[in-house]
Amino acid sequence: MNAIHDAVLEVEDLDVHFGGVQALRKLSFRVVPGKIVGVMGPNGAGKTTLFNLVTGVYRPSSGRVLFGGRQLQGLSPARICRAGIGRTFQSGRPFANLTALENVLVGLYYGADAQRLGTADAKRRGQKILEFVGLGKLGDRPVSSLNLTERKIVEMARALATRPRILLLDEPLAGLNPLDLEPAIRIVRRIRDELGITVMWIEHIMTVLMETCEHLIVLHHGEKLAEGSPGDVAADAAVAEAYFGKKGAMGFG
Amino acid sequence: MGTLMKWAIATVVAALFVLPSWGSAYVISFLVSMFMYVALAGSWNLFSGMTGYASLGQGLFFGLGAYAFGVSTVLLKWHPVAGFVLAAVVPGVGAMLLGFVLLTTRIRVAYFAIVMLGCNEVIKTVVANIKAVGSSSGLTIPPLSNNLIAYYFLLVLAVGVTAMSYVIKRTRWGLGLKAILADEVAAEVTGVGTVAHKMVMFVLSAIPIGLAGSMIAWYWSYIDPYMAFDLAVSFDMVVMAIFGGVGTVMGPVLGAVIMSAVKEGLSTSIPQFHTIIFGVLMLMLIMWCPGGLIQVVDVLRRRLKGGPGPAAERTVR
Repeated sequence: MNAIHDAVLEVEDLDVHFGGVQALRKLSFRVVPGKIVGVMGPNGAGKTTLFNLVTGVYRPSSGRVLFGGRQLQGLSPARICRAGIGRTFQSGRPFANLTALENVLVGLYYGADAQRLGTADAKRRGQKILEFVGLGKLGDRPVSSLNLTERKIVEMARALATRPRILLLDEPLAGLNPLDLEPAIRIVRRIRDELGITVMWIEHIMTVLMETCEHLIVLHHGEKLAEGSPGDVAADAAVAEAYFGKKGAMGFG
Repeated sequence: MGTLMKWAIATVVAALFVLPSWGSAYVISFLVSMFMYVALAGSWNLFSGMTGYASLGQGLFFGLGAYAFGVSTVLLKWHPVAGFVLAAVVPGVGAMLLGFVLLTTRIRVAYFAIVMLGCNEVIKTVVANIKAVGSSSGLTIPPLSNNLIAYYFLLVLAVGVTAMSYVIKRTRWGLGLKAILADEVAAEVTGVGTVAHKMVMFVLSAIPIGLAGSMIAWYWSYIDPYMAFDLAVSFDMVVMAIFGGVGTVMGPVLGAVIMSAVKEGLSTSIPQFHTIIFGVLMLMLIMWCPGGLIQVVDVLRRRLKGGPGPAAERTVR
């Protein structure tokens, strides 16, 4: 069997520039199903831009994105979502004017299962999804009344409700109370382990990615600097240089 | 909405249907303009209130409806019913075409507001320069045989628009609109077809505005470009919807009823200054109560009952 078809997500020679700024340059990688893939890199490396390209929020200048062998360019973000790509945002962007359950219902009504769900079924499934992420009791609460951790987890639940085959998480841990980190990481693990969803995960906390991910992609100035197992990446001289500078001059963080 | 509220609304609407048997000509003419404003504010809310794309030129469709009716009945000698059909079709198709240009790509909300205002002005000038439709001197339409035609037409239109907004807010489609209102990009990546939602609501907003324009054209029995495409029409509906409560079902109704009453009262008692007082009222409300009058009503209801006011939460954006 041709190895290419084993990939859920394939990115080929992806290039994007905004005016004169080259945000991503000839980026290529493959994501194998069932893995948790970490995406790391300093600020401005192009991590969120990559997610925006995969989900159709931005259009690439050139290159291709393949999802299960199917080309995604030209599809609207909504169609890409229904094809099976879920996503959360860096800053946490649940629908603040809706309740937690309604947020999840948007995903159920409009995601991959859009046409198949009756209202009662959808509400039951929505409640189950909220229970899965540990927010079973907060369904009726307006999201505007939830704290940041809860809001970010509602956003994850909303993405899960679209029934993705791959979930793109953009810094789900950023801004969380340190006490909430461990439970949030556990949710990400369970999304893969129990739901079988492939995860791509952008995060700034390197130790978390090193511990949780099976595969890492390191971006730097829009280019792929390194890729491989956490051990390989940690040993990579180029990565060390990008993060810490040759003589520690370019401190990270 | 509680059962009591529903009965109260049903009673008021029923009373309005039988009122003409007693009401004076003055009351009828006042209510005609009030119904028109309810229909306009409600229609504006259907698109702008529900998607967050504030249009400052939605009166464009009022003018298109007025001219579609005038041209078809006077120049083409169509039956008024056919005139009304055209007055729904022309704004509807116009909204579709404009929507293809303005709503299929990501556009800034402020930019959209100004472009709509500009469209109204462009079409006004174009119409004022077409000899076939009377240029700037306009068209004279044979007057209504009975003003109750306008009364009932606009009453049904106002009720219809309000009912439409009530129904839409309770469907999946309405949930998608709330998602768009909250965060359009997040809605898109959650599978909401934002372009389709915006386009459909834009057309659904334009049609009743066009119908109101056609009925008012007949009621006035005269139209010219400056009346039909008067920016005051565009602005009044925005002000009324915001005053009452953007994005809610009853807000635009409340805003239109109260503001048209205030307008009528002030313009007869102090004709020179009524717009200033109007503006001050508006400022006070926006400063103290950005959710509009409906929020005030909700807060009061909550104080009285001790329970949560659902509409106030809905207006949080």
